[in-house]
Amino acid sequence: MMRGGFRFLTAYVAAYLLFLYAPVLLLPIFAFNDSRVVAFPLQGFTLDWFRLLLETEPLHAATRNSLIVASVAAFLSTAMGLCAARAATRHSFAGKKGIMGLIMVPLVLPEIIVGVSLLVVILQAGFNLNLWSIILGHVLICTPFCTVILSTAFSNLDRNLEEAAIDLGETKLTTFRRVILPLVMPGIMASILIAFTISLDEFIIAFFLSGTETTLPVYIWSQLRFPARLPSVMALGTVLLAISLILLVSAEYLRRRASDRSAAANAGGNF
Amino acid sequence: MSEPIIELQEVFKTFGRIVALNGVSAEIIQGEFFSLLGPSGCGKTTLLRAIAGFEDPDSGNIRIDGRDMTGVEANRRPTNMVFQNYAIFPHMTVAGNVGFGLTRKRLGTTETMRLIDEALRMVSLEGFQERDARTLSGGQKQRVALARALILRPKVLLLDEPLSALDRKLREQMQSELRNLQRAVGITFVLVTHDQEEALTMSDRVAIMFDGSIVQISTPEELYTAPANLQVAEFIGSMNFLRATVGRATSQGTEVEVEGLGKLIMASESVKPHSAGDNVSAGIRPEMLTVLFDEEAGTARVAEGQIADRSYYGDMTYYAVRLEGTEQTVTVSMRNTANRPILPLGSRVRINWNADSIVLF
Repeated sequence: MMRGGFRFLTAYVAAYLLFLYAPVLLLPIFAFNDSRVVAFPLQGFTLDWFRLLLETEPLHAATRNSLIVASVAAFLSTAMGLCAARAATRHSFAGKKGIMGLIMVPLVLPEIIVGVSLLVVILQAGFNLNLWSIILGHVLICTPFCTVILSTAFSNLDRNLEEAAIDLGETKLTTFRRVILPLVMPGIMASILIAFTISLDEFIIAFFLSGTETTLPVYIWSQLRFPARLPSVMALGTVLLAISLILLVSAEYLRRRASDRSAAANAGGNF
Repeated sequence: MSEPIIELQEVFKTFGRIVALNGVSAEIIQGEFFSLLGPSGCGKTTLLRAIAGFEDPDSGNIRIDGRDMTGVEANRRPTNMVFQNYAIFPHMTVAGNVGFGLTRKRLGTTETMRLIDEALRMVSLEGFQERDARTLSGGQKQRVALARALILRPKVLLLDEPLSALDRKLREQMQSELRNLQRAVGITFVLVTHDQEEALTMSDRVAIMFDGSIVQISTPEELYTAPANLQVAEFIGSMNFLRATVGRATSQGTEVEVEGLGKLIMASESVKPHSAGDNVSAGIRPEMLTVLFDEEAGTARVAEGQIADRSYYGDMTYYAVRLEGTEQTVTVSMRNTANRPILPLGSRVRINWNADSIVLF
């Protein structure tokens, strides 16, 4: 009975993982496949699709736009998350729970609603759609993630460390610079990386809010109309996959280091 | 030498409906080792934090070295603090931690290094300069916290339960080290503790706090032998309380009738606030009662009793003795020596006491 149940669970997990990752694994396989048709059997190894990427001018523009949007959005949402997290972990004020809740709402709000409503607001206010409108939308959806990550970093921070710095003659500002900032820095880096990753592959909001210039995901979507371009889209996807993976792994590494640090600080005299 | 370094005048502090400091007044003398002792929640930590500048009193005055500290931020006060969990900066080396407060003074590298070396030598951590603060043991963290505070030569060093996180052996060792360090540097130490043994062994004077008020300030000996009231007597050490009635004054002293011990004569001064006919409580420490062994017989003041309970501690034995003709049980502590057998339960014993060691409440 036990063994049967165990065997079933093993098969279930295997099927689940296959379902989850097989499509993703197909991406790099076809990116190196020497055929315009995305189908088995594989025809041979080629780097042509990657070479094509380098030669496609609009792709470069879209990539540059995406990098600009993702960098600015990551920076802004981390800055905002920093303030929110600091306020949430150190101060108590009227309506704190409600305000923190409202900051978190975009986490569950359908992006299409965010996209459409921002579009209406921006157009009604008489602004043009450009990269800034996309950045605005991305800051909105990234800030909750940043706030959560940074709240963890701040709440792991021993309050006595701040008081110790002030006791030793530092002002509030220099205490922040000499003690708080270095200790939450891994959290800040993790927050920037996560926000960057979210912004980089966000499609719906970018689709609604782009003007003449657009981001990479929107560009990729526009290329799907041309079947011949499919293999080079696969190549592009492979590059993005690799970048995202690197960013996520580093973010997680930094986040863990951040909590290790605070944990070591909190361990005080436990031995 | 008996200049006050800290003067507290009617310091009040409330947190919402909780009164943390209920009009605390005290003077702490230059160069002494002063302890704030009390149960948790008595306001001792709040008082320490108010002196450090981390809490603003609602009213009242704190003066340090003659200067009114009202409105003076913690970073501008001539005090430094050792935190309960040491608050060592985990992203710095030992030298970075110890020299943290020197950075503002811009002394130059050579002078800074020299002071750090000196401070580390003071707490026996020579050669630890480049160690990562996270790799230190609890005792080492404590020494770093001490060095970090003392390097700034504060007028007063504030210590918030600094030994509570250490295990027993290390705690005892640190007690004497702290005491020696304080003598060596001559800086006033103000220690917060809930551990009476710690307060009694280390301090020149102890302030005992209950419910936001200081109840008694005195030397450890006085605190132990002449507690100001019942609450202090119950908190410090252990004490037997017996019902007693004050009798008339005679030329030798005042007669006091103590249940189970009988009539005894006490010095009139020690009976003072009570007058003839008052029902009082007579307190006597367990070590001031003695079980008489046969060869020690012949003392005048003797009460009969029976051993109701016994606890053996190796060096000491504590007997609970029910006094003859009463329901009253007293605890008697006896140092175990070669000629004193450990008495079995139910033994009939005679106990002796010293009237000078009885305190009336």
